[in-house]
Amino acid sequence: MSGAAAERFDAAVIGAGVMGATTALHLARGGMRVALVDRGDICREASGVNAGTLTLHMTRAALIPYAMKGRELWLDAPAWLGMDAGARAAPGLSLAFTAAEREMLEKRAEARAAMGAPIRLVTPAEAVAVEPGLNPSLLAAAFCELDGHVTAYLTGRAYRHALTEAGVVLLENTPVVGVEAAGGGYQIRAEGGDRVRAARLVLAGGVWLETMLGWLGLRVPVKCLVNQLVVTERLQPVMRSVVGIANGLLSLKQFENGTVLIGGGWQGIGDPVRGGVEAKPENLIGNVQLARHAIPALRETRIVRIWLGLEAETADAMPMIGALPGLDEAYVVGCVHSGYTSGPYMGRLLADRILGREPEMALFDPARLIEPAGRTIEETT
Amino acid sequence: VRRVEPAADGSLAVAIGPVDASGRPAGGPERRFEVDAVAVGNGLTASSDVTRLLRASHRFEADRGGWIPAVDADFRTSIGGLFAVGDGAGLAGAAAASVDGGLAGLAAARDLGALSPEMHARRAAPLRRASERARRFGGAMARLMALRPGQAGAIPADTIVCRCEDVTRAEIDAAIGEGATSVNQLKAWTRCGMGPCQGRICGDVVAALVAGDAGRREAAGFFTGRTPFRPLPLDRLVGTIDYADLKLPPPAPL
Repeated sequence: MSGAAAERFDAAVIGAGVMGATTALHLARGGMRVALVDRGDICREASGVNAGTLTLHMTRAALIPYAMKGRELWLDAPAWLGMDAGARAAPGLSLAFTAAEREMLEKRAEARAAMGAPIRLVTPAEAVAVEPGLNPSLLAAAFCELDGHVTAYLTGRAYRHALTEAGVVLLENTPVVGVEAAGGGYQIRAEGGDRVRAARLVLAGGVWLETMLGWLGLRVPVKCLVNQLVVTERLQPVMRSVVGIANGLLSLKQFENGTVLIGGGWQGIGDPVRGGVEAKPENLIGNVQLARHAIPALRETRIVRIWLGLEAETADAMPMIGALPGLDEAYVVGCVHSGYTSGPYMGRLLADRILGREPEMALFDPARLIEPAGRTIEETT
Repeated sequence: VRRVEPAADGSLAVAIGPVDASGRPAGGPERRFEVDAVAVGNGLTASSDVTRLLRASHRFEADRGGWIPAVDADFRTSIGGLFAVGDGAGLAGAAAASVDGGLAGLAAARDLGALSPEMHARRAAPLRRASERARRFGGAMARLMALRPGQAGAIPADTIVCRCEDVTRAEIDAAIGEGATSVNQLKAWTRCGMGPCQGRICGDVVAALVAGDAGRREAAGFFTGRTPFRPLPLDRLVGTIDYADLKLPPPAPL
């Protein structure tokens, strides 16, 4: 840390999840001297504990083009990240078991297809041909050949390798307590008194972005979702696709190692201060009931582990990625729905912007989300 | 035990040799036996997964089973109303566990106002003496069972450390070499401790490997406590229900 304290970096990124780590990586490859700071180990929050889905069936329609780019990057990780994070392509199915779900499925498939996702409606028989493990009582399904999954817990290992190669100074277990503009740049104050100085600042703190933006006097409410995940023991192959439900409340996949991961954004108890605290029994049971209904063979298995991951959401549930208004060379990246899928692409877009290149797709101006100072805190949840 | 190899007629050839005080193999003659079976005992650690899940304060005490909840003389943890007794709160044996349970019960009664301080002191005194006596044996057993400082380092590279996930010493060392400094990062990078036993078998050894020669077990941490602690048959959790009766939250945004 003493070496880092003496140096003035070209850029400091706070938050070593996928968004921050990708931004830092591309800034370093673009010639900048970069520090990446995190209060814990790299990719140990949302980026390391999420369901690792590459699905387009659950992506917000407006973000489909970004998610498709992100999915490609994950599958291509050995080439640009230097290590396989376990990304595997698989077909994806979204199911409807009731008439209401069928209607929702059709509407949602159409909206996502209009944004470029190759999603089409298929008959129950066609769906069962794709996924023989399905409950044959389904009424309809949407099929997307572009789906797949990543073993999210390997994310940190892959990124750490790439960041080290690129010369990024990685400061793990370094909690930041404040940031201020200083000498035409920024000074980051870490717990214990250490300082990191940089000409440019990138905030990439997920659910902690509200606090981080507050350091700079900006008030942006960030909602914290507490997503529940359940994993089974290893079992013989029971499914070969990624399976969801029209309403987006199920994300189901079997990894190469045989474990089945059950997600879908069911909520547990937690917050940014305490992290994920505990699952709600009714949500745990509901989520697992849905999974067992979709893939009946799951009834034979055992649950090994249940955990919670925190996901950040803005007031309009769209990302904030871009320059912070009224500040020189300060940026934010985060709050991306299905952000793990598109993260490698979002980070690259922001790095391009910072490096003075024209980003391939539009960023998401954070200015729209900033509330006037003095507004009370009670309005956020 | 230095080696176990197949021998003629289906028996096993076992080679044993001396170790030094830290448990590291030392020079000296090996002895060989032909045996029918080998049972391996891997010591004893405190099963503190419940108090870890509840986020009580824990401290590392190698001679009492590793990471154990911090408790006061009446077994109060750092969480109000939560007491911890028995081997999960520090190895002391079955005899001590029942006496300590009595002490925790008396303290709870006192905390709730059901027992006056005087009455509490009078009734607790003989139990404290009994607990001390019981601990002499239980404590000696725990010290005997503790992982010694040289043992983890002496594990050969091809030995499987995490038996649930078949993770070898060499794979653990590779992850440490790539920058894993805590057992939870190591778990993510190697799947070590992710299997059905949830790290109960390998956790102590893995943490010793992460801590390395410096032996800083506090920095290496412990596997995060996760429910359901033991593998839970999925069908037993969810029961039988019609799809129409499922209680679904509002749909995710489009």
